[in-house]
Amino acid sequence: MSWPSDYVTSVMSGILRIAYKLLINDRAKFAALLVGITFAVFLMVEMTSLFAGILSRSSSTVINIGASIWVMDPAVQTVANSIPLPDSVLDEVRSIPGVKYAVPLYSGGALLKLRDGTYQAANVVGLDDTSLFGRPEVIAGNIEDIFADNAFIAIRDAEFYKLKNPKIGTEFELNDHRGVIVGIGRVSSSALFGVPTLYTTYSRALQYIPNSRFTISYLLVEPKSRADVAAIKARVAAAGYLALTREEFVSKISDFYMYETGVGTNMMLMTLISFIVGLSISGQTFYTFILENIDKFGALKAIGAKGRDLVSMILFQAVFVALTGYGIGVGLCAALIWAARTRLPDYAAMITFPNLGMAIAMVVIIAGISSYVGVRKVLMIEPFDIFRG
Amino acid sequence: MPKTAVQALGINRWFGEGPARTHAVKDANFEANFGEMVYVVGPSGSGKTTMLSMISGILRPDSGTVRIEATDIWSLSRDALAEFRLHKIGFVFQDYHLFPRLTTAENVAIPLILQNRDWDAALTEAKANLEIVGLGGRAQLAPIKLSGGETAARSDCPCDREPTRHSDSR
Repeated sequence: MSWPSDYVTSVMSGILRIAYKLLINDRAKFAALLVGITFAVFLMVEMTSLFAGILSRSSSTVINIGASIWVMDPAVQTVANSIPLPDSVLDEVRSIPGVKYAVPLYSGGALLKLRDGTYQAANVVGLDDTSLFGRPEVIAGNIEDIFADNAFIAIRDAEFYKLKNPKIGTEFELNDHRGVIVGIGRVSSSALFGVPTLYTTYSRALQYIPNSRFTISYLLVEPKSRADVAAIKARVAAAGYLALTREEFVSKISDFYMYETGVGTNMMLMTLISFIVGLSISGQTFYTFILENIDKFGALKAIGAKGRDLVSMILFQAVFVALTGYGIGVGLCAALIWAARTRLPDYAAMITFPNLGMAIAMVVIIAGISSYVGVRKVLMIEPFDIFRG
Repeated sequence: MPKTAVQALGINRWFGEGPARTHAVKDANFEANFGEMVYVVGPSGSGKTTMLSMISGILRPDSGTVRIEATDIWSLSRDALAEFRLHKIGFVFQDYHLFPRLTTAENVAIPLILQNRDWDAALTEAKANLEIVGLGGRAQLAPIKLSGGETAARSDCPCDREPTRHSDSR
């Protein structure tokens, strides 16, 4: 028994086996159908994966810091564009019943002057001096060294090389202050905007980077229990600020990029175009396939095949092509992302289950429309037309 | 006393609309007994194919009845009629209408497969029938590789043993 065709046919009913053989033995048509579905799936999954990757990166700070609740100004749209909060908010939040602890976070941009005299933009995260809540995993050096003079921890991600691959002890200037790399860290998600990230203490961040009157970018809050979250959010709202859980903040950032920038619209447009191209190629080819075999279907009808037999044959062919093309398309997309990451480690594409679900839903629609056209044609053919030749 | 296999009484069929309306078969009667070989002969356009189509259950007459083994076939439901054709009627199409992507044996086995016979058993029976018409060695070839005569022989190949199997339109 040769794999896979003999195995596949051995588990089918006779009528589906005929349908299968009719389909795969017509290699040119089968290949054209597969190419149509495969490229439609490939483009749809690639587009949505890129978008998912971008959305994930856009929330990287929220994911990396890992706080349960984020308190911010209600006008904040993304984590990168914080609106400073007055220190009094910290005291107010700490006084809310149900708050286990609350710490400030600084997050902002800075311009570094590297040892070779070049300038490099960087994102600086200032962690609460007392708790270092949200600290990265340190892979070289010691986290306690962050309390040393001028200390910064550089994050080894895809942008790390832009700091000229610093080592422990590497110096730089930040706003005429001396900075020293005391450790190399790692976080779970790289940032979206292509700049390296430095971690330091909250107080040093305020000391080194020019600030407005208010200085806290976000308050990171840990509730005593999940049941306290609603009450905390209500109290924060009453004070004129916004408290979001981690998931809500990620969702808010995603919504901003999806609906308030052109990124989401363009990605959706490309996905829709991929769907239309796939539907056009596959629908056209499948219809041609049915037309070329219409006399055979008529002959089957005359012999005694029932309408449901013919419908099951056509549906089986459409579904078989759709699922095969889907598998190849997803495989191609995964291979492309893998290949891209060998050259571009920070390639922002992420195949997610919702992406795969959306692609298979679109493929099912393509198969459904293609087979509907074929089914209509086959059910309308009169055996008498075949009989008289 | 010969038993009646096929009986058609007063069957009529019109085609077309308005001035183009044509009375293709007019009050035709037909009867064939088991064991008989019947030829329908007539000039081109005289309605032979139309009459055979009505008798074989693939074209509904505008009036009249057709009984095969005492069953009024045009009183059957669509599916029941398809099932009846599958088990009782055989066709040799003028253009054969063989599936070029299937082997000769698979083409012969199609009626058996439609009867839900096991695939392997249907193929075995199809090959045995091909042996009968001298095409045993061609069973695995595509129909396109058969000569014209061989193709006709394949089409005549008895796929079941029903007496009305070979209602031949040619």
